[in-house]
Amino acid sequence: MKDLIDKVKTIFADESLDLVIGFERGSLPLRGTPRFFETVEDLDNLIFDATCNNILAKYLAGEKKRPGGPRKIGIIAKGCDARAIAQMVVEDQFPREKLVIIGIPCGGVFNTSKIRKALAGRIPDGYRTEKDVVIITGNGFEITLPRNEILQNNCLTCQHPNAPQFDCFIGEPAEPIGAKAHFAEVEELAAKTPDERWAYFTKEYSACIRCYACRNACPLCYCEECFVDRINPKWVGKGTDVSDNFLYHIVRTLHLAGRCVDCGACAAACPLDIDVRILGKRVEKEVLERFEYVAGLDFETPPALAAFREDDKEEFIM
Amino acid sequence: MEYYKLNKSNIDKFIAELGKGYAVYAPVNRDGITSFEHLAEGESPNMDFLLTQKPAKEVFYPQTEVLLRFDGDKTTPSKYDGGPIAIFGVRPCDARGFKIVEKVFVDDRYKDFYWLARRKDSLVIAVGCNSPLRECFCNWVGGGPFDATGADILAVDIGEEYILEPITEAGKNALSAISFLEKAEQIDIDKIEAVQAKSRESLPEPPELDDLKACLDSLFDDPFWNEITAKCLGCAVCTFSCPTCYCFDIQDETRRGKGVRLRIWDTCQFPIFTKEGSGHNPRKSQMSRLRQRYMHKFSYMIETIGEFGCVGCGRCVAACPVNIDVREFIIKALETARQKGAAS
Repeated sequence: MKDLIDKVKTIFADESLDLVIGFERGSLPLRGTPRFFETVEDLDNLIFDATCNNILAKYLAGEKKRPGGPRKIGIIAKGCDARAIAQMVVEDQFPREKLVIIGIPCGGVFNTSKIRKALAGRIPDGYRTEKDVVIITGNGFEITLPRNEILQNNCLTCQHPNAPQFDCFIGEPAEPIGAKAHFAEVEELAAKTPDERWAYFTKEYSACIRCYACRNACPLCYCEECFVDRINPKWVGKGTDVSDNFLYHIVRTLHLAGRCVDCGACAAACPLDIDVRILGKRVEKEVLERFEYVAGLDFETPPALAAFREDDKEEFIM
Repeated sequence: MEYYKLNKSNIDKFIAELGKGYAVYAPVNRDGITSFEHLAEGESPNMDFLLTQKPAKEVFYPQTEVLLRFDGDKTTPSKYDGGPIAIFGVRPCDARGFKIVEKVFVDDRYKDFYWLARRKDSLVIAVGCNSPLRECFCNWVGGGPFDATGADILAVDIGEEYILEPITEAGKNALSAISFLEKAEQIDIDKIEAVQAKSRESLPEPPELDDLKACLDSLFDDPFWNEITAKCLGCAVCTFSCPTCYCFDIQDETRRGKGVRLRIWDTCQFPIFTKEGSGHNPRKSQMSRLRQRYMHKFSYMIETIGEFGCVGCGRCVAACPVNIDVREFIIKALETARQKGAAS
């Protein structure tokens, strides 16, 4: 961590940054938490490890609205963070010149619910990683878990563990975890019968409490006013009837079509561990196949649904 | 009052006895989601986890509730008809939460018909916490891992058995009506003290909160709120998982003149909570919204009901996507206000 801190401190000074958005140790065991570092000294608390699962790109939308305009920001960027940032820049949501993207290699981040379930009430103190296992330690116990069983699902299929675009990169680039093929989850679902899929989605989405943590954690959900918050016209019921829950999640997915970078922030934020990623993953596959477009790889290519190309495939148009 | 003992192997039998007079709710893990649910025939309570993800308040105060149905000019109020409710396995924090929410829904001026329909004649069987979690802080806000506030019966897990202590007359009557229960012997009752002491020791010493309200009141316009709230995403995880958040919205859902009037949990964390018809919003920033949540719980509720609107269950700490910890907020507020006070 010392090396990371020293290098970020140097960047802070060299680039005359006002702020670094990064992580510090959280208040609970095995939790990192976002932190806004406003001075070089603050950076002594900077960390990055598998407990740092939040998507920091989210905070750029708030910074953009800051009175007097956004500050000069350094941002610690996992591959998915960097892609979300690039996508925001492409969509004109943050000025590129105000950003110093500090890429760091990511070996996947922990899913707090999976860990909680594996611990079954035991209280952890810390962890260490050995090859493909994570050893979680606590008062009088040590439990060894396969790493791939406690990482976020999106990490298991992640293709971009390193920032595709960055201003500085700290560390050696990471290899993709490759625990599953890119669209393995989509294909697993596609192999089911329509009735089975309906049962799966009904089970998942009937649990939704409409806290909108998925939307609020999503770096690309930056609308000033979300359609669900409209009263007149009221596009969707405010209660937790499953049909209203479906409508919310489907519209959100479609609004993110060709923009979602599968950072997994939505699923990580869900307090009830609903599979809120899967619809987006399905659409990501569609966009890739139709338009050969992957969101967030550079600062120039317009999003698939915001661009027209004469050679776009049109076989699905009647 | 007399103590009873319940061997854990007899829990299903105990639930079946309760089921003769009550609709029995208990913690369950259904499809990976832990919550208090009406036990199905033959379903057992799941006591493997300390806290359910969803708060127990929803048993008496569902997230979405039909208030009335209408068809043209004709309205039909909806009425709960599920019979008296018994909740088994609620933790002392959730049980205390019932009392706090009740002070809001039922007082000298107002009696909330819908809350009372479920709450009236209910029986709350709390189970004390032998091993509090890292997010637990009931001892900061007037509770404790074996606090019996809001419970009719308090159960203490001494290993193979629960020792059941009747707290209220209703609890006493319910226990004495279950004929298979044995009276606890002194040797069993003596074990309670050791279990409780061990649990209490595992909870860190709380800070002095007597002047928290005064401190917060002095800080309303202080820049410290910006720092405390900077990473907040503005979702409703904290409020919807809270045993004492009670705010609701009322919405009509109409189709061709027919429909329902719903009461739905609302949250001060959403901009629309305070958005006025004109479009003006007095709480524009997320800072002002999270400040409202904390001020409400730790200052305004002292004025309205005479106690904190927080039972220290820690659900908001554990479930917050960005790990905002209300305890860190409290400590920071006390420090900031005391420094400011000393300086002026």
